[in-house]
Amino acid sequence: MIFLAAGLCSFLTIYRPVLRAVYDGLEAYLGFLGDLVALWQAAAPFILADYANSMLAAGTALGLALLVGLPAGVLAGARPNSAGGTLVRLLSSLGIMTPTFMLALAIMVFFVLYVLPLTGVRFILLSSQESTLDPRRLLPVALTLAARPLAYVTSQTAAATREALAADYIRTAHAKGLAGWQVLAGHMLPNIGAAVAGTLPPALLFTLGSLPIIEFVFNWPGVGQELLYRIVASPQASVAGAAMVGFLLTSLGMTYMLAVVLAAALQRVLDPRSTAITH
Amino acid sequence: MRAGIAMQLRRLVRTPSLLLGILLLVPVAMAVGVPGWIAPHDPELRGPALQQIDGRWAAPPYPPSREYPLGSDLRARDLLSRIVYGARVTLLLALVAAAIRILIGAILGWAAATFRGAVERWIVIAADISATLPSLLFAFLLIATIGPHRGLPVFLIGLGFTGWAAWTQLIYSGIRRIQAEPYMEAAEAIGTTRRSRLRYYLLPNLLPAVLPVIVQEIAAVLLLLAELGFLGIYLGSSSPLRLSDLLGGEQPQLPIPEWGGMLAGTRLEIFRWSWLPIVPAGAFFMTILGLYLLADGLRQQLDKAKS
Repeated sequence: MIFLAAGLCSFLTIYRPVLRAVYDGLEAYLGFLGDLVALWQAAAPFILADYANSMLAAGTALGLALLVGLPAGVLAGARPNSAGGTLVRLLSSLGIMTPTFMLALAIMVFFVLYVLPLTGVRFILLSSQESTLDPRRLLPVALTLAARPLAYVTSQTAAATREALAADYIRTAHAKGLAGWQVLAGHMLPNIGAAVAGTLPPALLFTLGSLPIIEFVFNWPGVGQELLYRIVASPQASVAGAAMVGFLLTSLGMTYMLAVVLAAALQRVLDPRSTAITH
Repeated sequence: MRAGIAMQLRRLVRTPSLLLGILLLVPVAMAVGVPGWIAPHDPELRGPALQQIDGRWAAPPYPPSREYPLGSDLRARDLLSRIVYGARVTLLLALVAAAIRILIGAILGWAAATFRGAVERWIVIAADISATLPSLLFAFLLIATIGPHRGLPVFLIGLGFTGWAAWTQLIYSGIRRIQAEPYMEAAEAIGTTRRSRLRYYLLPNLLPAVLPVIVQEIAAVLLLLAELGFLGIYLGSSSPLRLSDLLGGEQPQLPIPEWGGMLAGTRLEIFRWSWLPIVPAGAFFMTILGLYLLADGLRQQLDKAKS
C-alpha cells in the first residue's frame, strides 16, 4: 500500500504537478492570512469612517423606530379594532412589503421637492461634500432605514400587548378597580419590556439588510454602499478587494452579534423570570 | 353545488384582505397567462424617434399619454406592454426560486425533526446562522461574483440559497408540535407505519399552516428581485456587472422584458423621467401587495376553519 501510494504520488508529481499546486495554494492562502494584518492596517481608516457613518444612520433609524413603534404598537395591541389600530397595522404591513428602494426614492423626491428648498439647499442628499452629521442629509436616510424596523417593532409590540392584556394579572388589576392608565403603566408595560427588547436584534438586522440599497440611493458614504462598490469593482479577485469585502461584512456581522448579546442582557434585566427558568 | 359556491363567495367578501389580494392579482395572472389580450402594443415595437408633446418636439422616453398609457422607455417602446409581457418571466423566476427555498428549508426542517441528535443540532445552528444573513447582500454577492450574464442558474442559486432558514425553522417546529400531539402518539401506538402517519396525520395538519407562508415566500423573492434589479442585477443581462450598471445613466437593452431589468439604471431618472423607475416598481409593489393580502386572507380563512 505504501509503495502504491508513493508510486501514485510520484506519478502525480511528475506527470501533473498536483502536489506542487496544492503546496502553492496552501502557501498563497497562508501568505494571504499573513497579509491580512497589513491589509487591515491600510484599510482600517476607511472602514472605520464608513462604519461610523453607517452606524450613525442605523442608530438614528432604530431610535426613530423605537420612538414611534412602541406607542404605535401599544395602541394597535390595546385597541385592535379601532381606526387607529387598523391604520397602524396597515402601515406596519406596508413598511415590510414596500421595496426599500421605492421608499427611498419617494422620500428623496419628497425632501428634494418640498423640504430641502425650505432650508436653502435642494440637492444636498446626493452630495458627497456635505457632512453626514448635517440633519438635512441624515434625516431622509434615517427615515428610509427606519421603515422596516419600525414596522417590525410595531407589530411585535402589538402582539406582546395583546398577549399581556389577555393575562390574568391584567384582569385582576382591572377587577381591583385600577384606572386604565394605571393598569397600562404599572402592569402591562413592565411585562412587555422583555418582548420589546427581543425585537431589537431582528430590527437591527432589517436595518443592516437595507443599508446597501439605501446608502446607494442616497449616496451615503457607509459600509453598505462601499460593499456594493467593492463587490462590483473587484471581479478580478484581487487580495485587497476580497479582504475589504470580508472586513466590511465582518463589521456588519459583529454589530449584529453585539446587538444579540446586548438584547439578551437587557431581557434578563427586564424579565428576571427568564434567568430563573434557565438556571 | 350553487349553495357551496355562494357560501365560498360570502366567505370571500367577509375577508377583505383575501378579496383585495385576489383583485390585485387577477390582472397579474392575466398578464402571465394571456399577455396579448391586455398589452396595447408589441413590447418590442419602437415608436417614432421624435414626437410632439404640448406643442414641442421631444425625444423618447415619452411621458404617459393616450399612445403610451404608462409612458415609454428610452427606445420609445411602450412601458405598459413591456410590463405585461415581462410578468411571465419575472413571476416564473420568483416562483421557481421560492420553490427552491421551500424545498431546501423543508428537507432540512424535516431532517432536523426526524433525525435527532447531532443532525438536529447542526441543522438548527446552520438555520440560525443563515437566518441572520441579509438576503439582499447574499444574493448580490453571489450573483455579482459569478456574473448575472450567466443566466437563470446563477439567479436560482442566488435567490434560492438564501431565505431557506425560515422554512427550516417553520417545518421543524411544525413537525415537532404535531409529533407531540396525542393523536400522533395514538397512531404510533396502534402500529401505523411511518408513511401512513406522514400521509394521514402529519401533512394534513402541517399544510394549512404552511400555505399562506408559501404565498408570502413568493412575495419575498419578488421583493429581492426588485431590489437586485434596481442595483443592476437582472435576468437577461448580457455582460458581467460593471460599476456603470450600478451607478445608472445607462438603460440595459433587454432581449426579454423583465421587471427587474426595467428598474436597472433608473436611480437618477426619478427627477427627469419619473415613470421609468415608478412603473416597474409599481408592478412589483402591486404584485407583492396582492400576494401579502392573499396570504393574510388565507391565514384568516384557515384560522376560521380551525376554530
